[in-house]
Amino acid sequence: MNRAIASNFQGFSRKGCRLWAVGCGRNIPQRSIFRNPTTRLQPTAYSLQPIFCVAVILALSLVLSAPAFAAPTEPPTAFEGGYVKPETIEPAGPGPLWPYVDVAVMVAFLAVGTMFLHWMRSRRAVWLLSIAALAYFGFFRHGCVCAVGAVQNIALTLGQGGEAYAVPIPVLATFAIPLVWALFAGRVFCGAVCPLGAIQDIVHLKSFRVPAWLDAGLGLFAPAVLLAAVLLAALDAMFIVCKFDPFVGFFRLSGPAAVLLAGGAVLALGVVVGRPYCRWACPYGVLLGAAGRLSRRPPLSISPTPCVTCRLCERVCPVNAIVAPTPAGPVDESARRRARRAMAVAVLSLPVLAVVGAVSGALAGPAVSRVHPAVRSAERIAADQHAAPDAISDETRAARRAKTEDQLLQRADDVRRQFVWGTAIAASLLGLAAGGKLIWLSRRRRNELYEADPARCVSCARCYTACPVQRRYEDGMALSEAMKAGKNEQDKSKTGKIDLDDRNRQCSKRHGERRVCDSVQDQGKRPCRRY
Amino acid sequence: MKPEKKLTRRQMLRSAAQAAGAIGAAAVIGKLTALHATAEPRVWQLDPEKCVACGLCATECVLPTSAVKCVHAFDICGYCDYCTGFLEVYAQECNQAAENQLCPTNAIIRRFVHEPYFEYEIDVERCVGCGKCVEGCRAFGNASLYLQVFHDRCVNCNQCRIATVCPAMAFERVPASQPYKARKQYFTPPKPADGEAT
Ligand code: SF4
Ligand code: SF4
Ligand code: SF4
Ligand code: SF4
Ligand code: SF4
Repeated sequence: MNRAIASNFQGFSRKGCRLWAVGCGRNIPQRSIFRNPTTRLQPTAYSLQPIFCVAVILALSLVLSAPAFAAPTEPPTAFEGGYVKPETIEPAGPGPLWPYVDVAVMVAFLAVGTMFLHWMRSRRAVWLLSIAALAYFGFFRHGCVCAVGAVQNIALTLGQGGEAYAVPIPVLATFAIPLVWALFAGRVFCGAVCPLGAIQDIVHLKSFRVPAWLDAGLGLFAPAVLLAAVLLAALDAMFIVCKFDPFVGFFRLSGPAAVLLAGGAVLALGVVVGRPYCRWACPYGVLLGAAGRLSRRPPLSISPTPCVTCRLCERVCPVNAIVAPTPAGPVDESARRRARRAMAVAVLSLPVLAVVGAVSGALAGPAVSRVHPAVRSAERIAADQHAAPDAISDETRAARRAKTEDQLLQRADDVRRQFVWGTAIAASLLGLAAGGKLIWLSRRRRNELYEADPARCVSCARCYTACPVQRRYEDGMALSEAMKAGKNEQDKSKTGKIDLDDRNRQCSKRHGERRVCDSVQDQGKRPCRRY
Repeated sequence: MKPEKKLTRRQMLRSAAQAAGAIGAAAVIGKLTALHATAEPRVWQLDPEKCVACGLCATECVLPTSAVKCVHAFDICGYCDYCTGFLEVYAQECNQAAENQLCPTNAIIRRFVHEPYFEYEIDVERCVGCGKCVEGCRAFGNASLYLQVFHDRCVNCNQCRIATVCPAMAFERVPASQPYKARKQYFTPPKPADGEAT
């Protein structure tokens, strides 16, 4: 009963009836026996306490004048005996210079990575660099702020008009520099800088080839993450990319168990499937891929001199990024007709997907808006309207204390409305992305050699190690010789003297499943290599 | 002739996409710089005026021991003998004995200054940021105890995990040059509202 009375007054009896303490301490006159040092240590004085409390509470419960309790004590200004008030502790942070240092280090890594990738053409060097990046950006700087999450900072700034939050210049640079870099040199960021990519890369042992249709389907999840992240950040709800970042917990060596477990699961998958997060979930990868697609050059040439179409690189690429040559010669008429029909279907589906997205987005808006703290609070406040004071939620308690209930309910209404629009737009963009992907997949491709897809290649340099032309180059053969040998093989394969598939089959039969011979001429003479 | 024409069309599409991308990027970057050319790094901090000491700060931080801890503003403390931020509600004696303390980790050190004043100091190493003392002091005292994100510990997550669950929406991104929100006023005037007094 006393509990109930207490909550009438204070509404936080959930945390225990502190009125006992009040009744016994604060509400009695300042110079009472309880403040008297001579009586303070006498048990008899304390044995009166409970009775006193009951009396006080009963008396006050009759009056029900709630605010009567708060009675602050004037802070003393002068003390005897030379006592000086200590300073309030406010420990300094690591300082505002670090973000700039991080940007400088990132640019250095990008430059060195580009050199390793395009000039030295060394997988080992790129690998070492990515380990250094993992150590610095991951374990030393604890991963934040990273380019992957930075898109949200920008969305928040643009969405909220810049008053509540302005994106700091280093964060803007972290976001923009790798994108601009990708326009010229491909996704060097993914292979040489990103700690999230590096941690998946070093655990990756064997590539299990994901079927192309599954790869493309799962690949739609990443733009969905991007759109959701931008929407939720622009409406100031939450940074979901950061909250559900699977690996940042490893970098900090701490974090909620569920997130660490999820990160462990993604890493375990990454042992047999190359970079699952990068391919199917990373929102920044979508932007980097788009930048790569816009660039005029392929991200890297897999073989240093003309490719011999041995297809060895295709097998080692962990992310299915290597595109096979299209068959030479005239396309037969029925195939062309089929391709045209597929393209027509894809183009027609574009508006349909966009409309379906918009409608379902608008319908889902109110539900999605619950991610926003204002909406969540407003729902609790509404639910607590007639609740007993000791059963109200912390949200309601906070709003009542700050007298912001009406304001919050109003804001929640606005936010809900914004979400209806926002989710509609985001979902229709996702529909457009899906349609665009269909069109892209049904376009007529034309490439003569094995090429890295600039949108998907993550610059890991594994394909270099597989390329026989590159290998001769590494073994010290002069580049011109290597080129000649390469030409030779290419000519042979073109004139149909060598059946490449057959050769690989033979090699597998002779040396085991995971080995292929690296060149036609050397077959049998030199050890074939693992992939 | 035909393949050449096709190639041209493709190139045109690509150039158009490139131009659109460049214009879009320039627009975004222009807008951003127009909005905030001088933006400085931000850090997380909680507003003690909004905080209701719900306890989530102690459990939701990504660090094993929360970066949020209690701060004592000595300037506005009443130096009371009966400190409602220090004493357990059922305390039978007013002393440092563990069973009398509100703080679950014995992080508050009580020192006798001179009659009738007592100093209360927070042992930061022990404090876990549970906010029990904060609510005790705020409800019946001067509100001189309050929670803050300690920046020597906080790893400054891009999204503070506590901020996503704080029922009072007390977390903000504040400029790194003013990373604390100190309580300056000793007396928080009571704001009676339905069902709750302050
Ligand atoms: S939480 Fe993760 S995604 Fe967000 S900025 Fe930090 S490392 Fe990047
Ligand atoms: S560098 Fe080569 S192996 Fe690595 S992702 Fe790119 S194409 Fe694939
Ligand atoms: S989560 Fe919010 S209300 Fe709860 S203790 Fe922390 S700042 Fe205060
Ligand atoms: S009661 Fe909680 S917040 Fe206060 S000093 Fe103890 S651990 Fe820190
Ligand atoms: S920003 Fe991260 S480390 Fe700092 S208080 Fe929030 S959750 Fe804890």
